Amino acid sequence: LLEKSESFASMLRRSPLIQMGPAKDKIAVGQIFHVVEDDLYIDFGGKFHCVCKRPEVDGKKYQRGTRVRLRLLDLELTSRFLGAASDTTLLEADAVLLGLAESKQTKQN
Amino acid sequence: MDDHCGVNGLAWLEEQPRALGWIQSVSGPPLVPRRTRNLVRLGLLEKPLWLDVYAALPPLREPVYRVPRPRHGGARDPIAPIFYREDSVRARFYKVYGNGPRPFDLTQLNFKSTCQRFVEKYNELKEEGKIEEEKLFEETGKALLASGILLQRRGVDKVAQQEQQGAGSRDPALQLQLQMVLEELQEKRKDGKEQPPELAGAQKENPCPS
Repeated sequence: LLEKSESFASMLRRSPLIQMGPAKDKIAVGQIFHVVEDDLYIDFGGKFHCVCKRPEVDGKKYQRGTRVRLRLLDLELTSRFLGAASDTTLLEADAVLLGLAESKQTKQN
Repeated sequence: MDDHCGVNGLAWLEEQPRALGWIQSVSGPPLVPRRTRNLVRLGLLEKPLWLDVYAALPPLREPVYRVPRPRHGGARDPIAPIFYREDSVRARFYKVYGNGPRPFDLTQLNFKSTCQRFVEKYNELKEEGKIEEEKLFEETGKALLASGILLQRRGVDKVAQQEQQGAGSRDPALQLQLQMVLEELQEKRKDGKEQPPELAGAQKENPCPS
C-alpha cells in the first residue's frame, strides 16, 4: 500500500479545526467517554474534553459511548490571576449540551 | 582536583563516585548523567539509551533550565498568527450564514464541513473566472443550493429552524419550494410588503426578528 505522505502544514490547512475557526457558538458532535453520576465527560475532538451536566430530558440515554450535540463556547478554559506570570488552565473545554446526536436516518442531504 | 572541564570533558564519565560529604562544585560534571551513571553502577537502574548518546555527543551548554528574564518595555515574543487565503471567505460565510447546517465532527481528519465545501466551490468559481468578484459569493451559495445543501441566512433563523426540524419528513422537492418561497419572502420584506398568504398557511406563525 503506497500512501503519499502529506505535510503537516497541508493537513492542518484542511483540518476540521481550521475549518471551524473560532470555536464560540459552533455546533459540534462529541462522544461521552466517562460518566460520574450526573457529570458527563464529552470528547469532541478538540484539545480538551468538556464536562456537562446530565440533562433532565432523556437522562438515562446518556451513557458511555453516546454521541451528543454540543454548542462549543471555549476550547480551553484559561484565566490569568493577579500577580501570576502566566495563565492558569483548567485543562477542560466549555460547551453547552444540546441533546443527542441525530442518527443518519433522520438526516436528509 | 579532577580533570573535569565542564561538559566538554568526558573524563567525568570514567570517575569513580565520590565519597559522601565531599562538597560538590556548582559547575561540575552534568548532574543528570552523573547521577544516572552512579545509579547504573550501583545496579538500581537499567542503563538508559541516552547515556551513551550523551557521552558521545554532549551538548555545548548543559541543559539546565534557566528562568527566562522578564522582558521590559512591552517586548513580546513575536508569534505570527496563522492566516490562510480562504479564511476571508470563511469569515464572510460564518457572518452571513451563521453555523453550517451540519455539526462539526473534529475527530475525523477528512471531515468536510459545509463551510469547507463553500470555500472549495468559491475557489473553483474564482479560477474559472467567468463571474465577477462581487457576485462570486452569491453564485457560490446558489451553486451549493443546486447540489442540495441548504444554507439558511442569519436573521431568518427562527422561521428557517422550524422548517429544518420538519425537514426529515418532507421530500426534497417540497423543501426546495419552501426555500424559494422563503427567499421571495426575504426580498418582499426588504420592500416592506406584507407576508404572502400561502406562507402563513404552510408554517406556524412566528415573530421574526427584524
